Amino acid sequence: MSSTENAKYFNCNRRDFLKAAGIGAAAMAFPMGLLRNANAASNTDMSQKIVETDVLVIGGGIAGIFAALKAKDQGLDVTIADKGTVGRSGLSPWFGAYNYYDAASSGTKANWRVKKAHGGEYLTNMDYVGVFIEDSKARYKDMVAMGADKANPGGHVAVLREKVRERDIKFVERTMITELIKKDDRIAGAVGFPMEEEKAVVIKAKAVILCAGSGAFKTPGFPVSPLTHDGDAMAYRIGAEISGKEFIDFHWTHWENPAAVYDNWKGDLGHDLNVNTSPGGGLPPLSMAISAHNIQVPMFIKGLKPEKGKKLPPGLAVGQAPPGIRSVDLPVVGGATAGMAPHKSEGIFPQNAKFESNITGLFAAGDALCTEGAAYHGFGSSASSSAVQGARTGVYAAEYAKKSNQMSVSAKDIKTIKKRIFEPRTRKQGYSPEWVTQVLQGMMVPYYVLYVKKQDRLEAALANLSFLRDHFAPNLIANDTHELRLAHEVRNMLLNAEMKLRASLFRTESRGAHYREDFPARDDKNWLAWVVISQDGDTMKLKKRQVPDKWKPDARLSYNARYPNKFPGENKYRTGK
Amino acid sequence: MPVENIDKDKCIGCGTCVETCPMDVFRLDETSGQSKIVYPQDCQICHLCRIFCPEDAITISPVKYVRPMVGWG
Repeated sequence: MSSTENAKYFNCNRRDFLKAAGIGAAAMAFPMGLLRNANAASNTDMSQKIVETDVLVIGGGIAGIFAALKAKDQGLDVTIADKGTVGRSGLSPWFGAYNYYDAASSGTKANWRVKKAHGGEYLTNMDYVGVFIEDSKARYKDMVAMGADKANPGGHVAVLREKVRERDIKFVERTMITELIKKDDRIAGAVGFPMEEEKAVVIKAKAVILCAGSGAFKTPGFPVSPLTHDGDAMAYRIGAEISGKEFIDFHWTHWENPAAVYDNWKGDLGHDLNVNTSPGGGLPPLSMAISAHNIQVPMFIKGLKPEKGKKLPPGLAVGQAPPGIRSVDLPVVGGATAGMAPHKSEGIFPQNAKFESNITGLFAAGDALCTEGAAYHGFGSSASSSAVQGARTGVYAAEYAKKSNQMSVSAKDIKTIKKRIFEPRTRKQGYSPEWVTQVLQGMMVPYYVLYVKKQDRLEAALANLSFLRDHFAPNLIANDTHELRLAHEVRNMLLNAEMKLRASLFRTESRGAHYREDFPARDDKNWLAWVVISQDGDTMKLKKRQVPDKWKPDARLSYNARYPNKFPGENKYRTGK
Repeated sequence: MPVENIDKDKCIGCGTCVETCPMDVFRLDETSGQSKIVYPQDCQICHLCRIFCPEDAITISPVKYVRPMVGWG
């Protein structure tokens, strides 16, 4: 009906009808859609502080601490930056085991290499296995010399902060490094912002070492909420190659109070290091998390349950149950690290054995570097490997910085970067980072997306993710610097999600911590290769990089010898039985 | 709430929890000089604040509250 006819129907004149219907100049009466920024800043040209340094280490965990110490040993000006506080950040407080190669007790180097190749399902970077064999005992001795092997309620890395402070190393803490600066295809430094002041921190550096760890989707039950792949994201955006995004970590949490990180993992704090020199060998693929459709969910672990209405005494472990407290099976579920790969299975793709990315002057070490292969293969090796890698990278980055000039960073460069970084502060309306994070979690965390994969579900998630990327990421609001951090974290999580979905679609087989129920077997003919991701204009490009022949499994090894742990459906897929 | 309370009789305003928290939950209150819980929704219940607090002033619940999902936000 025309509006005149409508008006007659409602027994009012046409003008009144149009007003009521809200058509034309009248604005919508209901505040749906964009949230208003309650505290928008007036412009992005915040004040700035400039730091000049030779080697910038981004991330103050084990890898970053060792990198800073060893770079300083080379006599250079070293700066260490952290989104939180050095020695308190990321996963580093949470290790209890420490592994190293010892000629007397670990067996032969050749056997160690075989075990590591096997454990990573032949995607292990064997150059870095060699580095570990050479250096891991020396790094263990460093840990002991610094007192980091002793029980500490705040984790073994807690004491290392003081060691860094003793060394005249510059600290830039509680500052989220948000962009890397690249000039003429070489690294020039980085820019970030502190948690409590509206200002930019510009760090001009000759060499940059990314030690910002990995990341997840702020999942509950594992201490990964501060980790949002900031290193990968910044590096990707200046053209770095990233790899390992198809692999997913399987840490679990309790079904009851799933967000209680300390309750889950306090067993790793407060005791002397559990040292081992075993070559490991490989965990069953997705052991906890193949909650495939036909396997019982949840799994169970032994725990202590107090009598109804009573509280458990603090610090009590299974096996210490006093009278009246039963040891019971507590339900646990995977997903505490959805969005994360197993340690060192994802990250910057190393171009060589010297921790170099494909961006001149940009190095990476620790969980930020992709070296481990398709699965985690040795308890305690994540911590020790980070120490080994950080230390080596500090030396290589210092060598590079010694023979390099500082690339110039102009006032105009800084102004442009500040505009990008602070835009959510000035935006008057948009989407809140908390809500976008929640939407992302709903899309990506349930097991049937990244734990038990299938083409149609991956494509569905990618279609939704693309909408979030195109529509929400450029329209985030932040009403203070704390929320600005959340805004940049969710941008980085969105990028990681896209990498995880695309890499999972690309690798049409299953291997290690990547399980495709539509391709449930390993395909050595086509997939002894890494999936390498890089930016190509506005799009994300993926390519296969073959594993070198010398690292491929011995041709005499049967399939079952190579891959003793089978995925659900694998035998039937391969043999029809 | 996850991190629930800072005991006002115990807090000496040293700022250790503000620095230590990986999720930037705390701020030092300019008026009282003591720490306050400003962003509890971001707490990951890791207890590092409680562990490093020299005065044992912090109490923490294992329960996390999450905003209900709404259509826009």
